[in-house]
Amino acid sequence: MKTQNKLIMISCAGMLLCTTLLFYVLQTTTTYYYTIDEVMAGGIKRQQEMRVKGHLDPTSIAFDPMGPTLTFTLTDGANQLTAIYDRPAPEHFMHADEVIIEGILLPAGYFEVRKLMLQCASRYESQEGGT
Amino acid sequence: MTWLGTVSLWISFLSALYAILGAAYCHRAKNDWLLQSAKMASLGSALLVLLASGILWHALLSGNFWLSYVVDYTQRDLAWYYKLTAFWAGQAGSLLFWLLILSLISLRVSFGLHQVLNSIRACFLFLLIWIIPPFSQLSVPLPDGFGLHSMLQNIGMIIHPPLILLGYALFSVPFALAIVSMTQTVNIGWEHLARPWLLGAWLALTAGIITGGQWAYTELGWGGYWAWDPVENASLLPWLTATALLHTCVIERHGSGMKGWNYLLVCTTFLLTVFSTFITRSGIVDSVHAFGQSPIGPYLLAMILLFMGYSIYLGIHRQKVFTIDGTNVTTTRAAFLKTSALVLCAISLVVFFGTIMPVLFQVVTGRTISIQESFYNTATIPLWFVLLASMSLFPLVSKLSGRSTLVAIVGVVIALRLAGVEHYIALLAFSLVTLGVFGIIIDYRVGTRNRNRCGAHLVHLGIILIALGITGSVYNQEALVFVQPGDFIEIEQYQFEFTGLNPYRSGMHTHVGTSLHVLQGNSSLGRISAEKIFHPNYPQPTSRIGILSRLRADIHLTLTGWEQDITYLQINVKPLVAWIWLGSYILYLGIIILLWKPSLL
Repeated sequence: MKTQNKLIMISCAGMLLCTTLLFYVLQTTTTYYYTIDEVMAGGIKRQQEMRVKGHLDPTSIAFDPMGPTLTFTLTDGANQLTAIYDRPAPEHFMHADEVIIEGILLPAGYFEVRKLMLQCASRYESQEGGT
Repeated sequence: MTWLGTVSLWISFLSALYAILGAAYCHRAKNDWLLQSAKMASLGSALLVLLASGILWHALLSGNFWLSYVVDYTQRDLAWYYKLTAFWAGQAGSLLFWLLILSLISLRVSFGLHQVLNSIRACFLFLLIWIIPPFSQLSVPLPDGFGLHSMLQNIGMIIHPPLILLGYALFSVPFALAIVSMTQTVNIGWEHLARPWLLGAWLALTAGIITGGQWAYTELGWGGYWAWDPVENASLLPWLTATALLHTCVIERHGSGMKGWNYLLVCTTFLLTVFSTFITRSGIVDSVHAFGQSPIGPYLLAMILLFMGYSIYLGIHRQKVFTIDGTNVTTTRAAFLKTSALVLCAISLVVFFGTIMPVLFQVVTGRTISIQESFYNTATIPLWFVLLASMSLFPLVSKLSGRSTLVAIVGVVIALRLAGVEHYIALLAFSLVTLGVFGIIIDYRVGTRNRNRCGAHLVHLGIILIALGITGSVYNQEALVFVQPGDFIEIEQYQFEFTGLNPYRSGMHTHVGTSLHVLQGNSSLGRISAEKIFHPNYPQPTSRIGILSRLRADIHLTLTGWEQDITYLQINVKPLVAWIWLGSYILYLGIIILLWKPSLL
């Protein structure tokens, strides 16, 4: 019985340690999602890494096929956020509906995209109306 | 004709319900006629799913544009093989495909398991009849469909989804065996019967995950072979628990207990296959590979709770079974196997936690968060190392003396350090890989040689080589370069000669390509080509990346753009990636050998 109690105590201590470590790791590896509304309202620290999800305005895409830079606008219906991405655009970017961008807000109000993800990679589901 | 599909699903659903209730009644009161009719109903239910699947396939191939599913995923000029694969391109079709495999399995297994399999089938049929009907018709037929998304027109689409779904469906059998075993008064030892099914499911799921990784690896913007995306995690979770189950089954077979663990793991694995579908299809988590929002989420959750509740009830009610036959003798082999199983469970817990954390966080705080890749890497890398160490060191510990093992470990670490391996993660991983390969060779030469052992060795060798390939990512290099014709680029030990752009027309499309000559020292490694393809009526060109694959490193080339004489190129050097694919082929071979003669297992 004594050994069993010791075993339970060691297990509990181990689990507590693991949980604490897990939460510690979580704190440093979590990115907050912001709405376009929140980003535009200000109050977000400069250089703070964040994720923003919005609908791509297809008319806003300034895409120079000869160059690497892509400029586009995400919208939530009421607000707009202009984003700049200096890597090759993912395939079928122009057909994307929802776009997730990860990066930082620049002082000029532009969003510097470090990671660009398309929901249109929805491999098994067409968008409404089927595209 | 498509009305027949809907009717088939309806009758199949009613037959499955009749078979479940009939068999349940026969269990209490012996009634031969009822039992026979329940068997017939179960068989009929399975055959009707086959008929419904055949009708959907026929509609896809013949271009029946009355059906919204056909309109959404095919078009007239789509190649026939993509019309076939459009079957699992949508939610309804992929669920029907899962159901189809389940029905084929039902035709193969004894009626004793049909009760559980029919319950699963009834749940899916409910979804296909009321929530996401595959045979829903448009009010007027369209002249043509919208077609399969061009990114899905890839060999990956032909192979990857059906393998994943095959794996999920096959896991139903070990689950059914465990449940049936728990309801019997006599312990039937379900693990032995389940092993071939378990291995088959594991093979399919492993191949599905790896082919998915290979597909993502070659697509621009899909995050490489693994990105810890929630949808990817969802398929990894049942794989992890199933791998743990394979190990605990071995322990149990050698009389060292673990019956309770086996039951827990087989139930968890099955529930995780449904959870995976829930995560992927409910739209509850944000994923790069997101599926459309769908109303099936709550129903899948209800299904999980239903089966979980019943599994827990049986586990508590029949817990005495877990103590039978368990001598709990802990041998060195059992200790290593238990360690591996426990570590796999711990990894699955971390991955599960990371996957559902955004959902929990949103429920509690109302805010949305995203868990970055670094969470999974930081939290699981130590566990992967323990797993790799357990796998690599066991053959050494069991065949060599403690002193010799220690000498081997120290010798390998020093040799690798002297060879120039400085990165501590790489040093640890390469040491374990070397020791693992060394251990397998020793075990093969000294230990008992039989088909079972040979298969297990190949599986472990495959995993070790995959670990080697993944470790190479610590040396990944990326360069964005601006070049003019005649320029030489040097990245690491590679030199690239750029000769210019080559525009040409092919059909309706204009291609602009480039081909670099790749050199390493004085030896030529070959050429690597990438291009942009300009489509009529589509402003964004698509990119075709070039991959030069060698055992030492893969080189990726992306033609980013150009202006006047300057061309922008992105070059990535990804060391050792080819070992992942090589390891996977060895792993498949190992499982096939294990499956070849299940009686030896």
